[in-house]
Amino acid sequence: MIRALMVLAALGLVAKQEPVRFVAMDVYADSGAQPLAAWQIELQVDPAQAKIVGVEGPGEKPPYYDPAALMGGRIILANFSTDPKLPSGRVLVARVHLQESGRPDYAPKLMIAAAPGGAHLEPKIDLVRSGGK
Amino acid sequence: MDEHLDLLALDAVRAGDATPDQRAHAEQCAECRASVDRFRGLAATLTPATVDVPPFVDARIRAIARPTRRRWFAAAAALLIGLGATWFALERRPVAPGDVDRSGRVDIVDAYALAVRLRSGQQLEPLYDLNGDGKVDERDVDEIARRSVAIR
Repeated sequence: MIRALMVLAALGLVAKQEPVRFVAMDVYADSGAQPLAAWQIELQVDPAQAKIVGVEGPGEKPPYYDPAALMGGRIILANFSTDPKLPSGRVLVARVHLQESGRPDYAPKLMIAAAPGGAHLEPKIDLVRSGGK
Repeated sequence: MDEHLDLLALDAVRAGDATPDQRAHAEQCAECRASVDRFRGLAATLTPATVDVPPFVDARIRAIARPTRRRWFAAAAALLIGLGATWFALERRPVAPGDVDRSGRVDIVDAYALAVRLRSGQQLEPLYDLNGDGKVDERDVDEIARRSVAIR
């Protein structure tokens, strides 16, 4: 009887677990009319719900990040450009690959951003699952 | 002028502000002159008498009043000295390696600032040689960027 209950409980736990899946999240920064020359953000997620497994950039120069952050729940991403022609408005700045095993809440936080010349900026940061907009 | 002077005119005569007509009437009219005299008596009663302040009281009052100005000067001087010392301390504070914009921390804006200076061909201090290879170049920019994203 007890064994039967344990089997049922185990089955219930298995049924509740989310399947492990790999997703990509696009990180956007919207600096309005101001061109974005440098940005640095922190992305945090409950490592029990998701793990950061990779980072890539939209252009030739991928964002800077600490490889030690991979397989964890916290990463700092940053990049800059001295290109005289910089985009403004909402721009894709990075793509983060994750291994989700639950229903994670992602909390991107702007650490610092600057316009050409170094003037302080406060762009809005948002995440979109790759394939969305 | 046949009519007697009104109150305002009587007081003007008392105070010496009356018109020639009002003055002439007051001189000729006994009733008005008497009223002016009563006004003078009343004004004398209402005017506070001059009090002779003994010299030592006067000296004490002045002694109390003077330090107030001194205190203001002292406060202003202390404020200026404080601001000067703060400015001096900030200017002379040791800058963390890689803190190009002297913001007090190393972040991607420092990497950007150094990259801009490199690009413009500016003479750069050896302070920015973060990887210690004897020159300041793109590798130092990368080093600052790496430090700014390091997970501690």
